[in-house]
Amino acid sequence: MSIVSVRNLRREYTQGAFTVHALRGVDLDIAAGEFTALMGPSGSGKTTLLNLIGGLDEPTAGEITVDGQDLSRMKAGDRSELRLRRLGFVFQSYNLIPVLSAVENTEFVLMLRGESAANRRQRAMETLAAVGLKGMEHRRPSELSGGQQQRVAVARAIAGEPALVLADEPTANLDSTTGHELIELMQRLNRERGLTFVFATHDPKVMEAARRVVRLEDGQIASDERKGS
Amino acid sequence: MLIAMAWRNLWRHGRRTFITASALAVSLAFVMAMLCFMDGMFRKMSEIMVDQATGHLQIAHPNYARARTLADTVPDLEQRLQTILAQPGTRAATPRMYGFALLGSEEETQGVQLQGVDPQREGIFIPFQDRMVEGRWLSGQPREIVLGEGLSRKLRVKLGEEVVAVTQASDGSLGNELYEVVGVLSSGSAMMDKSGAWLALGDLQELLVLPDQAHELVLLSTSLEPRQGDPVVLALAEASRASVGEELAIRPWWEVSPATATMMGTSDSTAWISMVIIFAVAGLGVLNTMLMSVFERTRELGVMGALGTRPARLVRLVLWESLLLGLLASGGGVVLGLFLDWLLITYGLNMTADGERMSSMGVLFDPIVYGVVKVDRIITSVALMLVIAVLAAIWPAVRAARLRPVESMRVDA
Repeated sequence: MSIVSVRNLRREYTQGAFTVHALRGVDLDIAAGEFTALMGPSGSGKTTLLNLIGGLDEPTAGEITVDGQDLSRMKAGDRSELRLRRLGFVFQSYNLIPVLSAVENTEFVLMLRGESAANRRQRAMETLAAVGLKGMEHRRPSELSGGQQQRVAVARAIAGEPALVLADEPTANLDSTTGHELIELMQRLNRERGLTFVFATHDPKVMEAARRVVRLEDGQIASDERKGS
Repeated sequence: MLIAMAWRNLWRHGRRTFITASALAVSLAFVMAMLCFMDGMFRKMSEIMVDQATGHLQIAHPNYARARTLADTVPDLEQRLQTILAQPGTRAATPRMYGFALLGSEEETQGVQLQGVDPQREGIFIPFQDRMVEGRWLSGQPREIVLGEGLSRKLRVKLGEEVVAVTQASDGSLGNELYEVVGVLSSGSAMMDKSGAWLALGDLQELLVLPDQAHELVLLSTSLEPRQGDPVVLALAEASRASVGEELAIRPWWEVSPATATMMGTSDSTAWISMVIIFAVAGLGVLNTMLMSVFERTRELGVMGALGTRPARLVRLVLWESLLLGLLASGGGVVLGLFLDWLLITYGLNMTADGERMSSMGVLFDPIVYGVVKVDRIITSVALMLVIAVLAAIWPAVRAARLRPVESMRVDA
């Protein structure tokens, strides 16, 4: 069953007198449990596609269904609710909340969902342990390395057991060893927990790890390869 | 967690928070000191212009206030005074009688206003003993007179010397009598100092041929700071109505002296206006700080939105930050404000450079005004400051809530 279904998706921006066609009619289905990389050069539309799937942006035309809900017809508040309940995000530059410790960052989404303090703390601690950050729960982002911060970001994204994790260039700010470790972590979470991951990335290591690689060029899908599994 | 975040966010720029909180704290302390001073002034005004001058209630002949005719008196004075003193709610009562006369010394003659008073009872209203420039206050013995300071100079009369009063009595006869000058006083009223003279009620009753009568019965209620429409004063008016019957007029002080009531009323609105202005200026500082803080965190707030934080929660976060800033400031402000209040209560504030008495509406005030601290005033000022701190953060908070995650996250951290 598709967790993401995109039909004839278009996104246009106006920049001064020009219209930029970021996406020119994209069709894509992503099944639950997939580990998919959206690849392509800068400006190919991969981040735009990721933002649209994540309900952070609105399409000019076309349909997006995520977890059975039609995003193109949803109001901003409902999209926000969908992000909170069903989606996890990992960003390029970690984007942790600097005044919160690792465990507080991890439980932030659970707090927004209104879970009890004790319950969310326990889940956040377990999730941090699962991403290999046991013992660092009470450090603030400024006291963690880049790799550790990105692990906290992954923990934050998966603590609420989302239907789909969207990761925008998650390894771009990490050295190759740390980046590799992070990919392995996400692979393991995909394998063990059945979490669906969609990446927008340039990183060949991610491409190697992905079981499906969708290449975008000029706002269109140029190729869609699945590796044998 | 939201409150903890708000608190920690405040300390991301500790120095900026400290400076903004200090500005708020200083404005709060200043407002507290201003209110302390104004309330001191208000109490003084109330003492001088109400308690001492008009009393809280005046009972008189219905025509006396308008025409001030000698014969429009309160009859059966002694019996009425006893009834009024016996009724609950009367703190003090004193009869007053007024008359005009020519007062002559050996060298000069002046037109004067004579006030016939009960020396003991009047002393409860006005501390004449403390206002004597020379000699003493009336003892209650017959044929004693106390002159206003200016009048005694004009008459060129010394203590122990005699003055003669000549007037037309109520029955049309010519009244005249000799009195011994026992004291000279500075009354607190510039006009009375120039032309006022005090003598025992009995002496004036005799001079004007108005036995067992007075022009006014002046009452004090138990209210310590009477305000226009004061229910304590109104209750006393009702009790007095039952005591004295329908034929006499009973007027609360704000009807006797509307100008005083207006002045005392405006002092309250002046306090409010000053408070709002001072806090509004401090509020601009909060607005600036919160706007900067939201602007600097555009990316972070965008991420929070992307994770599913509802706009209302972002509004609450920013408002909490401002409220906590206000609470922080109120702690420091109250401490500083209480110190200033203590200075005002202990040392007072000299309102004139040369220590001369100051005059307002013909009434002389001591140059030194001592502060009065009221807990409800402090609570009101702290609450108002907090409200303004939160109001000042509404615009930044709405800005934070309106950020579009996808655009905000493109902003460099």
